[in-house]
Amino acid sequence: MIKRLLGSLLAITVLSIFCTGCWDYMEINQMSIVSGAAVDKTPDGKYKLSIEIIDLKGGGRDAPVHSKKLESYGDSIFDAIRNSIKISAQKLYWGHAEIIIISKDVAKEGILPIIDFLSRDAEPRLSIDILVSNEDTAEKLLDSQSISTEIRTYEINKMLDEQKKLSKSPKVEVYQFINALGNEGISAVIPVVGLTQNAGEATSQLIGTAVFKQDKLQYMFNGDDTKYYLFVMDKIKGGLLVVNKTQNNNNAGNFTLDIDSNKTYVKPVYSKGKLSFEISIKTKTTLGEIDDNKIKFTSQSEIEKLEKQTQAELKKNVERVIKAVQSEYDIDIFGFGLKVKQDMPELWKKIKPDWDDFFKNVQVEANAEVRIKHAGLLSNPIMMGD
Amino acid sequence: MEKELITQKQGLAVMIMFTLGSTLVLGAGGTAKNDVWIAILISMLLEVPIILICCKIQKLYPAKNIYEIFEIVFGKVAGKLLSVLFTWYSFHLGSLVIRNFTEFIVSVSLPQTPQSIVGLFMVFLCIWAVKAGIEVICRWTAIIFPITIIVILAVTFLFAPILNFENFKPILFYGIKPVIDSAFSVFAFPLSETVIFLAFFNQLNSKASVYKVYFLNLLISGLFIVLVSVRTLLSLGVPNISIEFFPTYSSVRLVNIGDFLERIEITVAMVFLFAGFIKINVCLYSSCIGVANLFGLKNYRQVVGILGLSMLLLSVIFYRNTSEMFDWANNIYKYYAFPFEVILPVITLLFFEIKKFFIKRKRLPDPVEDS
Repeated sequence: MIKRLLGSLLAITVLSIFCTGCWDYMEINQMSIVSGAAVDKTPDGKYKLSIEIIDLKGGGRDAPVHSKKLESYGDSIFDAIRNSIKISAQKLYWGHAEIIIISKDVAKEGILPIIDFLSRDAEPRLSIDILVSNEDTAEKLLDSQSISTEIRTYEINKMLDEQKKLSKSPKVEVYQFINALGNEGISAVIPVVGLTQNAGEATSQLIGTAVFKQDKLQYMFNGDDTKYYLFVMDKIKGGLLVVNKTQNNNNAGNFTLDIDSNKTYVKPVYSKGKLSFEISIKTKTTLGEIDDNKIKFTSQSEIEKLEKQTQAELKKNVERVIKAVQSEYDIDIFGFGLKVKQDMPELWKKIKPDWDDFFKNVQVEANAEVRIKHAGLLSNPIMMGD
Repeated sequence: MEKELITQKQGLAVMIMFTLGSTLVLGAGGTAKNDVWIAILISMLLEVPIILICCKIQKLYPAKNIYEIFEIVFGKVAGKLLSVLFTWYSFHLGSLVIRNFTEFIVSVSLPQTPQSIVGLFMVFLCIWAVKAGIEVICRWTAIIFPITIIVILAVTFLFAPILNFENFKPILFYGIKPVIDSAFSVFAFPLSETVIFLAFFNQLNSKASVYKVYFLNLLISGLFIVLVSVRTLLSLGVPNISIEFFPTYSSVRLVNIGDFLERIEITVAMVFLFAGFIKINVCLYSSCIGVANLFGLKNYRQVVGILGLSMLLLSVIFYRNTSEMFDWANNIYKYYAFPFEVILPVITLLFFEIKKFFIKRKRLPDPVEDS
């Protein structure tokens, strides 16, 4: 009995020596929580990281959370991140990072190292959003005015999330970029963020889409074209369709439709040795605004007239955007090649080597079917008696 | 050796946990890319004859474990030799699982902690559990099993918003060959590893049916593996799966329900921890019985500690790095495991039948009387 007791005492003493601390011990006040970062390159070829960290000092119940900016240089992305210890004395924690903004110059050279770090390291998530900066440095975006929250990068992330009601910018997370990079027959795009003037101060805004050939930035296009790109990609969750009188001859008036839901089908068609694509867009909308007072909403034919005009407008724009991408840049951002691979694997094996040529000349026909389901609270336009 | 009894339900629960074990984290049949579900279904079919053979062997001598059956069928010397092989297989499998486990923990959350320390705590627990006996392990499983299943199903449900069904297509783009190859992988790991259960399924109680346990396990575990693989495929996509070490874990990190329900990847670690623990226990238990049988020990408990610690040691020294571990798991293991999982049971049954045919049961104990 006494022997056993002594034995266990000895065991406890010896074990306690080995159990005095932990490896990988982390305390929240000993780390800097990263909310997002901007990647630039200095003229001498080093990476410059501007990292926004959440300022945990102060605190208190009602005090807003502030952020700080850290600037750090290094020969690689990881090197630059680790070098930040030189100034901040704290290791960065990437588990809460939401976005990475990449400057145009870095994006033109290739963003593979950034994507690799983000997916290889255990801390950052694969759901981080990546963006390209339209300004000469990405860092500028972290200095701009913030409107809805104190933390710049979270605000940009929020803007991306709320894009679903606007649909003028894609939202691309790291894993989606890797998929677009790795899949055959599709090229990657990521959203572009730039500066604009708001109430006298510079603030960031999403301005469109950046197109990549493999991991290198090729060109950008604007937010309005992005909407039609998103229509083709079946990524429309909301947004407006504006039809102007000036664009149509037999128009009833200017009106704006609010998209409730959308479904797009892209179908490759192969007949007589010719490949073409049929895009059918099915959209349900609500009338949001109209400046014509002759239309009666109780009359089906009047509503159909509006629908027809919108359909023609949508078809025209979608085909215009596709044509422009085909003829000017010849980069398959719509994933037409992937569609062929998925639906006609045998054909894809044959045409895969010359896909770039095929893509340039492929016929695309868009068909839109727009339905106006609701008209808000008004059954008729506001009347104007003389 | 005193007799401990396992009920049919407990046996099934342990076996399902064992089969899911490291599979849910390492992923199954990755080489088949987007046809992984076909590969798993094929491997389930391939598994049926092996299960029939295993059950048949157990049915011959319901009260004997595989080591004793080896000796009955092949005689003292050859039987002992096969026992050594089988013991080695379960011992080695246990150490591979420990390594998978520690590799995962160290890769995703504790990069500074030495692997051996992570493994040490696991192995201590396993030694304790195995010393307590298979009944204790079974009862523990009975508690943990429903939790595991509910967690897997609940997490799968949360995947709904990020599933992209286009990832299924194109089906069989690279032909049937990589699919068969991958089916063979899934067949070797994890489905056929259930051979190890022959080491102690003589302790199933008399009401339990070995056939039922094996076949229900194949069905349930197989479907769960399909479920998890498909969910990973549809969320992450093929390019991501081909580059990730732990695709299941990475895919769960994507789940984000309304900015509110996110960061649930701990569930994957939890499921892995529970199932991995059972798997190590089963391997340790099986190899202990083997060693006890080999040296004629009265009680297998004498060797649990030493075998457990050697398992840990082997797990540490077996691979140089993560890449080697995955290379082994994906490319070599299926050939390595084949003799243990397929050839051993097949020749045992074959030899038994041949002997029965020629000697007409003269020297063989009658299977029926034996029970």
